[in-house]
Amino acid sequence: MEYQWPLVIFTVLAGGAGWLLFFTALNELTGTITLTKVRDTALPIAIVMLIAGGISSALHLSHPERMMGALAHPTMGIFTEALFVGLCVLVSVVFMIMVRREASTKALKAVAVVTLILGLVLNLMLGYSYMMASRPEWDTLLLPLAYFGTASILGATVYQLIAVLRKVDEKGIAHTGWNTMVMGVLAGITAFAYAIASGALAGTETVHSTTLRGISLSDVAVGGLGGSTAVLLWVGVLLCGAVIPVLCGFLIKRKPEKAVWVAVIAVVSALLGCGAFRCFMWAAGIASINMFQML
Amino acid sequence: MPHNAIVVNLNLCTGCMSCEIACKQENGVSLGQYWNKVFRVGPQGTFPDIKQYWLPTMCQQCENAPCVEVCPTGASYRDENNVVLINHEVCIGCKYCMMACPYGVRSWNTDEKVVEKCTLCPQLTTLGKKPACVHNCASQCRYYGDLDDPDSDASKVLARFNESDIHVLKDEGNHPSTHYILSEKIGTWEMGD
Repeated sequence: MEYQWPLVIFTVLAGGAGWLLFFTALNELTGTITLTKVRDTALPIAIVMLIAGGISSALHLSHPERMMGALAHPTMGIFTEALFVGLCVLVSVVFMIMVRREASTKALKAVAVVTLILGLVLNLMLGYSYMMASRPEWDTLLLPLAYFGTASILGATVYQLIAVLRKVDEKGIAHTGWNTMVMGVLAGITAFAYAIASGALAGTETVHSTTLRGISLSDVAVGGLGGSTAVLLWVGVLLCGAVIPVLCGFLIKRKPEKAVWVAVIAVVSALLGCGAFRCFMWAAGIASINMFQML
Repeated sequence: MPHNAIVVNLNLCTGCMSCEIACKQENGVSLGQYWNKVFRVGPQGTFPDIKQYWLPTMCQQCENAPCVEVCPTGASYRDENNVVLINHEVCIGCKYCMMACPYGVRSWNTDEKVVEKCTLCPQLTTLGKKPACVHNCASQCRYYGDLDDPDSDASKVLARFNESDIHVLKDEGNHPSTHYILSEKIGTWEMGD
């Protein structure tokens, strides 16, 4: 299936924002890094990412002017995605206002717990929406888990870059390097597990192929070690989305004082990896029967 | 609630595509778009023992319709007669239903930028007439009616055949209502049961 760029961009930005909120909230609860500097930058960045993602998803629609109709028809999928994006924006704004008004530590920790949970649930929902029996490669719980995992590295690297740019202490920057390493491993494992479960690594799948007038069972390429999605998987998803960020995290953990360019490379690489996984999913999503070939 | 569906006797279908043309004429389906399309399956086997049959395809009116479940605005819905329909005024064109349809039998209207599909011709059936594809079938191999009513045309023709001759498209838990009759002597069913 063709890449649906608005949806790729939406899930990358919203997923990354969800994890950025997670790390911000987690730090609020644990207090590892000098809080005010990173938190004050991370929250507005997360809001911008969520709104930009939402706008991108609207570009996928032919009639965005009718979008509000979704509010009257709650379903699992697009409605829940929109709901959690909205809730994440809302809780981020509340978080920012509470910080500005110097709310009590207990109140901040409470809102941090809500933010943390919403960031994680949003990430699961982004992938869950694509689970459907008509696309066997998507119909596995490993898909939302891979969405979850591959976005985690983007959130971790953006959080790391903010910490570096805001010049938090070396202990704090080293801690973000550790976060990045862990999330890079999570991204790699979840993406690779999905690639195996989806059959994309197997190389071919038997589907009903249609010509103008004929329909027959045939094997079609869905990837494989040397197939059409191999570059996306190995270079995009695993190298850019896992290996390079892990190496960057390692370098930052060892030399926090010289971290700016390494942190920038980590974000760019994670962004590419996160997007590559979503493109990989679209490329692998072949309908078992697609009579009219309209999609 | 009725369980209206189409039954196609593939043993009789000649692949003339009159159902496809009748559907386009009745419903104003544009060039390059389909609500109903006929495919050739085969030839099967090796000469001289070869078989071939024709497979008319359209919305299968699934009992657990995935398109209805995923539609974010309720544009895909089930009406009071149990028929899965699309409200053009509410469709946002997200194509989520087209992804979720297990058979790819939804069409994209490039003019209105909405999803469309076979409606079972309610403009005719509510007047007691048959859907255009059924009425115009040259070999009279298409039947329409309530599958829960033993006196309907659809139920009567199904009753005449063994279960081994009655097929549905690959069921992913959506339970398609459209039934196909195909006897082994005519062709081997390849579309899953």
